[in-house]
Amino acid sequence: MVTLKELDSFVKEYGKDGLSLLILFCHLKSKYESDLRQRFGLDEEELNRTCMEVAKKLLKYAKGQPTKKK
Amino acid sequence: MVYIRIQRRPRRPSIRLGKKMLNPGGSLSNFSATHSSNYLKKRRSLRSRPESSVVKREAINFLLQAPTSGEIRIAYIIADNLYTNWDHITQLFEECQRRNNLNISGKIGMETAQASLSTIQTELAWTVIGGHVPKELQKPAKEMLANFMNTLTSAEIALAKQFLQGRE
Repeated sequence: MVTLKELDSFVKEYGKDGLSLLILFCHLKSKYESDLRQRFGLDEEELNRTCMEVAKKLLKYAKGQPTKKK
Repeated sequence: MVYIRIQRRPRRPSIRLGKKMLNPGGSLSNFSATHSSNYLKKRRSLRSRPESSVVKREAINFLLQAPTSGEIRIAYIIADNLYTNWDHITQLFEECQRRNNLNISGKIGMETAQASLSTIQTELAWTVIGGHVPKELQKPAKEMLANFMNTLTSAEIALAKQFLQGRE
């Protein structure tokens, strides 16, 4: 499990884009993991890379209005 | 009731009379040897696994079509609100962690304390951002947030850094 310190430094370095990439990645991985393993025989590393690549591509569609940090 | 499993076999290529067979110099045994080796090659190619790059491309195409636009929107809303209120949320997390370390870990062990902490963190984060999520998306948004808080690992953060730095 990730520590708060790691997540905090990641968010401070990569901002909202980094955070949305991680959230989408976690969602894709948990929801489609069994499908991807059964259909395509992906191992853990391939699964992570595939989900991350797709999350990055999908983020292009999720761009909204910029927000100001309080 | 008896279930019978039917396995599909690759279709055997049809035999055609080629020049080799009709050639008076060639023998029937030569033909059958050639034919059988071609047949075996074809069977092997059908059985063999496609290249990993092809599999990966197919997996990416599958994943690109799988999530709905609503799911992407929810992920974006959560990220947006978490980032906007990040300082407040981390303060709450630290306070919660400090209290948990004092109260729980001594009694029930660090592992259980960590597990309960992630659930509490989800609840804390939700109390801050829940009000900013549209009402109809609240249930899936909370599930997505809980999933993010509970399953994220250090290795995945390192991989995300690689992708964001453009090394992948």
